[in-house]
Amino acid sequence: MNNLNHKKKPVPHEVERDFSAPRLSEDSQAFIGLKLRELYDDVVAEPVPDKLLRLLDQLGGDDSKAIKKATE
Amino acid sequence: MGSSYDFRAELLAVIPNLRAFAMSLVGAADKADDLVQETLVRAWDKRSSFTPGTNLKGWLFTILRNEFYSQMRKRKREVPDPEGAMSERLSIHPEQIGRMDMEDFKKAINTLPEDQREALILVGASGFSYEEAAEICQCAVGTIKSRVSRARAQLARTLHLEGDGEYGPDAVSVGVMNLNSTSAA
Repeated sequence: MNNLNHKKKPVPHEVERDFSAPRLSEDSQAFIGLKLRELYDDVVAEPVPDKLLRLLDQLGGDDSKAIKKATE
Repeated sequence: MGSSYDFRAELLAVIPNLRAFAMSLVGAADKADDLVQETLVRAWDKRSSFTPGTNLKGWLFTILRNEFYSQMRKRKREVPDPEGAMSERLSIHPEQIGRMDMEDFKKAINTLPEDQREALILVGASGFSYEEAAEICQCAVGTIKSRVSRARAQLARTLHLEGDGEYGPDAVSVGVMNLNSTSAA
């Protein structure tokens, strides 16, 4: 597992692109970006399921294998 | 221990993003939550290997992705449903965007090769930089850039975005909207 250690700031992804790919208009890129985020953010906006909340509550209590079993 | 309490709170903050990423990988909500659950347990077990103050979200995404692919290798018979990936349970807001638009978009996303879809989602939806996405996918930054570009190009072709496509007016209207309005954990 690699531990992510980031020294540099994230680069805004709209700025960079692969010049070997066909150039898309800004409108097309914006359209794709917007739809993609909308799909994704619908899930992000959902409440965290109880199952996962319970798991978090129990983490560190006993050993996590028992917790995993209990939440299945 | 106080420090473990903080770690738990930080895990909680990333869960919504983990679920969205998991959904894009496995397609079905229950399986996505199982994957997140496994990720949380593993993250907890190996929490001592995480350096506080570094990118927890990236660290967790890496664990989730590794877990997903190791499960895939274990049971090859369960191939992700190309129609179902990231689509079935995602709700649509008709008042925000045309229903057919979104249906077409989901179909187009799901026809992308898996490596391209993953790269596009990490960079275009999860809010990772190309460098971070490359670390998560354990590949070169250029590979991620190329996958994202190819994914966008294919989406544009599939959806007829370029030229006088049916999405012309929408594309113009979204061009003025702020794409970074949503929070990333």
